[in-house]
Amino acid sequence: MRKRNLSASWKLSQTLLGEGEEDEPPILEELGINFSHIVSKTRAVLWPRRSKLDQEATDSAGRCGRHVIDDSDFAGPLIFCFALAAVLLLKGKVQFSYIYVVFVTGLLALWAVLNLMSMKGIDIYRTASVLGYCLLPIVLLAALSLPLDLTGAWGALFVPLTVFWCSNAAALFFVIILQADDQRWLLLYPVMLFYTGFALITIF
Amino acid sequence: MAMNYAGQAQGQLNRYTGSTLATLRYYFAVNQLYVLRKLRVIALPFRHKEWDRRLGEDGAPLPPKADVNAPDLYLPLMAYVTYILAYGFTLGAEGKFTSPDVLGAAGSSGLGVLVLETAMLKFGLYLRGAAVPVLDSVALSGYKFLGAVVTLAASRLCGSYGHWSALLICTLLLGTFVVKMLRAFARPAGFTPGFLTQGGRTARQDYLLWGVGALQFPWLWYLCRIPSSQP
Repeated sequence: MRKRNLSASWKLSQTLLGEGEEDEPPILEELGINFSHIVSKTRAVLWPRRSKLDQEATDSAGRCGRHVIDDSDFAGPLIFCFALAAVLLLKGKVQFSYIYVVFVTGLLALWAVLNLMSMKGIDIYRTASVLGYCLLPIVLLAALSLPLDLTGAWGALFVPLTVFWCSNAAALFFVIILQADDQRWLLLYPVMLFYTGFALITIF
Repeated sequence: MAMNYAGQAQGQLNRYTGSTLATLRYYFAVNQLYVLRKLRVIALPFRHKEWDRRLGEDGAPLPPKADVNAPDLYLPLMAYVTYILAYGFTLGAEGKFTSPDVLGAAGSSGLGVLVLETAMLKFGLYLRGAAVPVLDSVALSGYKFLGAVVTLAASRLCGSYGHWSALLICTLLLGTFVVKMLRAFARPAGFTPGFLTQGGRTARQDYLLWGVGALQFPWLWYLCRIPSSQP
């Protein structure tokens, strides 16, 4: 008797919890969020090494190889953007819209310039993914701006360091994707401008 | 759709005429050597001798990669964005960076100067009967942002003294550069220059070039105006 009464609600909760059908993939796979890729790409941003990124395949541990760069996903960039907004919130600055605007404007401009300058094209999703991942050092800079006052001498030390770190990683990704080694510095400069913009809204 | 676009862009890499995209790609066909040489020409315009653009086999002007006198849009674009950021940093260092909106304000004033000068150039050249492509004029106008960035840096480092001396020096160099480039662009397009000839030309013909050169000063002054910071 009890079982029959519960059967309808049991079925409902099963569907809601996703345990209903057996051939449904897990939700993370459906959304395309692959944590090992996110981790390896983040590691590639923190310690960019050209030799590792040029490999066509990854090793068994899933460390970063070429096909991981080719997988353009948004989960990592979104996490970093929210992290930046959260850290800025700790400073009392509610600037979600400014982060978004700077990111989108810079993304469009950079995508246009990259396509116009290179022989090979790049699509906007991959550009967005690369730019978003390399935002991580800016998040660290924002966290650093909480104890230190970055508008003075500390800023003169940490801001260029951070901006150069981000831009170096992003330019490395772009040079590999676009195969444009002779334009390395020309690709580096606009990326540097992009991250300087972020540094600007972080410290001021 | 994005992949299709990438394929199209790849197919047009060697054609610089025809569609708008292909025309635009001409102005971005730069490499590192070109950028270095161009910066040297802008910094020392008096030492550069040959200002005419070189033509390829088909009679069309060579892209910037092959000719240092060709205009490009990469440098002006980078200089423009650098100007916006430098303006932001200057304001921030003086405590006047109230919100990121000031970056938008700097961007609009830069864009306004660009559009105004391009319109004036286009009109002036039209009166003279020379047909110079719009993007060439935009490029010419855009090089002034390099001067603006230098002036902002100098005013940050050396105060008011640095500001005014940088303004004067940049106007001089920029003015010379722009006038010489304008002559080189407009000559194949039907312009008869009378700049500093032995007086065989009428003085009227000089006014456009003199005007363009001298106007660099008000443009630069306007771009580097920091609200209420000069005595």
